[in-house]
Amino acid sequence: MGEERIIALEDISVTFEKGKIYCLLGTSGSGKSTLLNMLAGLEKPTRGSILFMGKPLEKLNETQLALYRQRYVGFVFQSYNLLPTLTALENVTLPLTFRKIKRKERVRSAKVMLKAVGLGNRWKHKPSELSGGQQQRVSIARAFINDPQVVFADEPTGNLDTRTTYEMMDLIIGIARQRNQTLIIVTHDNEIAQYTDQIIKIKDGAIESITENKAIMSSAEVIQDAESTPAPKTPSAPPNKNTQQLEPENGELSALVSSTLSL
Amino acid sequence: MSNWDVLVMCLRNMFKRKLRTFLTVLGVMVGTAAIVLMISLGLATEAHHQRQMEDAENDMTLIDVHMTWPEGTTWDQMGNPIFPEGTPLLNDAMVDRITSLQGVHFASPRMSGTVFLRADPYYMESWNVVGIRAEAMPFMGLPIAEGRVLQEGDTFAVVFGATAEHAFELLGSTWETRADRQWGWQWQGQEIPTFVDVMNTNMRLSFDRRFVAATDGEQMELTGGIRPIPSYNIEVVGLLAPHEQWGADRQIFMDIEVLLYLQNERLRAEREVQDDWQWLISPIRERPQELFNHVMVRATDVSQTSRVAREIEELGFHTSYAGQWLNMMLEGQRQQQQLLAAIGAISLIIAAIGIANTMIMAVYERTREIGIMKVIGAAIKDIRRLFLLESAMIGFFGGLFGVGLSLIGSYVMNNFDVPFLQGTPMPEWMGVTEVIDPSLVTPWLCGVALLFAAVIGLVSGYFPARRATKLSALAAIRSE
Repeated sequence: MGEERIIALEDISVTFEKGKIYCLLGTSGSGKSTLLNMLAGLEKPTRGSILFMGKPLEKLNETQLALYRQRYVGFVFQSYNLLPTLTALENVTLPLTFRKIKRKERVRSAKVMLKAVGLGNRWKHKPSELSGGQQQRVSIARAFINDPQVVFADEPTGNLDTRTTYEMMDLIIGIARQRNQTLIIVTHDNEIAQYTDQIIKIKDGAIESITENKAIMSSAEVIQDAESTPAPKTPSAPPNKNTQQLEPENGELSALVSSTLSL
Repeated sequence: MSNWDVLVMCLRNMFKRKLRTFLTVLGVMVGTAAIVLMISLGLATEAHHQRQMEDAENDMTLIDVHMTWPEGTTWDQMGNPIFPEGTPLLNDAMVDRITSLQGVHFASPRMSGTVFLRADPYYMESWNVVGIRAEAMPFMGLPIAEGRVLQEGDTFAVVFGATAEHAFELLGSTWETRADRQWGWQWQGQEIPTFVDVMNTNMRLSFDRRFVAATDGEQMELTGGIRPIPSYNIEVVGLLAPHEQWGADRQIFMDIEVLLYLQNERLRAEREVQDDWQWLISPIRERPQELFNHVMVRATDVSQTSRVAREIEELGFHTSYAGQWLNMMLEGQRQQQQLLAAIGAISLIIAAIGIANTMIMAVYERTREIGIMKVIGAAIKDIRRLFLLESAMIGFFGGLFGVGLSLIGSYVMNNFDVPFLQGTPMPEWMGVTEVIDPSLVTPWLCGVALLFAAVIGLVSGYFPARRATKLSALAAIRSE
């Protein structure tokens, strides 16, 4: 078609481990979002392989990908992406709806989830009646409700003010830690990166560096007065004993992307 | 997603855009109502036709056959036609040939004459007598009130039509008094008195007007004293019940062979009469005996009638039958209804386009929602079901309200005069006096219309739904 081929990512080889919190850090246009989308099965690599629990994601068809997202993946977006016609409760139950879980059970889990994100009394509100922070809480509740193996957060705090940002980071990391779920956060914000266990810096479509974050931050350290910290108290996670490991070249010299989600 | 969840979400989406949903439903409603009403007109006609066929089974199978007089036909001095060579003639041989056609129950020549009756002191003047084959009369389907119809072997036996018995007059009554009675009674809406009990009275029949015009003595004088006017004893074997068909009420039936014999007798008598009295002789033309002016044919059943008639026409004769008229009329009405149904169909097509448009707009509008749903785990099947169900529901509800509307419309048509829907009125001679409902909406029609509307919704929603499923989740979330 004469389209210009742009290589968004090249020679990426990285392994994500269960229960660990990662940050894909990079400027805009670095390819970090593309990597995230590929991990989430929204985009397919032109070459290379993405293994999730040993299975190649790029070989799944649409139906299988839908199942993958339904069962194993949670998503938090920058712009919340709640369905405007549904109430907070209904938005949170939606992933379970797609899994054909009975309504009663759905509502019960959703209420638990909403409580966990500090919105216990706002079930019946439509997104338009909620503040940005509240909407993002709903979105976080939605991401975690189906008890996913991995949660992807694409600039989750991009639309929020500083203070809410901290709250949100505490919240999302707290929940992930509590449930021992893998969390992959995409951000351009260095400060956000400090919350995570491992920082993967991406520049111009390639991994620049992978750093183990020794001094994991929590909002308490940022905001001295912790009065409005709604996040569940979670122990600051000790550095994961399975240290990150770069995937061996996979024997595929041509691989543009080779990421492994080993959960 | 469970079916219930799909349904709930669908209803929510429909309610979110109330006005648009309403307008789309309205379109389907009008389309459905239009087509249902148009079809209901056809059904009403069809049902009426069916009823008529059943009611008039007898009449619908009768075919009247008569000769076409070809070009080049001339007349002899007596006024008898002389046909060109090769003209098919309606004679005994032809009657037998027609009888042998497939689907013919029976065929009988039918000729009429004029007779004069005397049952002293009463007489009957210049009355229609119909000659048929006596053995054919049971097949004519004429209802008998008293006695029996003619049967094989009857000679000087007659069957009276229902009102023929009223035609007797007192001998010697003047034309004025006769007219008084013939018309006056009926004007006043009174029953016409019956002077003669035809079943139990001896009667004499003649073809000569003079037979009833005078007393016995005068007759001798009239005939110049040569011989009395010839007349014959007849026996009335039956009296018919009133019956519209064939003008049977006013007729007297007798065997055609006897009728032909009597006519020959009349002709012989006329030759003996002086020219002075020619004016008195009824002007029946001499006709070759073997040539009949009419042959009546009965088909074995209604469905055979038009085929039999066509075959007889191929033999070179004219036919006419009740079904012909009815068929022509129905054909005309059917064409009119097809036109109306086409208009209805057009409005339904427009409604379908409306559904498609609404659904496409919905896909555009919900692009982002679709993307979100996909990302959080909606299967392609779920997305497709959401959109297909919505369009099917629009179709279904449109159909439902449309059927309701058409029931109302049908009621209005049947209970108030809607002039252009009345169609051609049934001719009276067909015995149709009931008022015909122009519209008939059957439960079957309602069901089919409902299903059809839903299917139209589904079909209209197919491409928009496909479009929705084809959306890239990623692109969809990015769209604002």
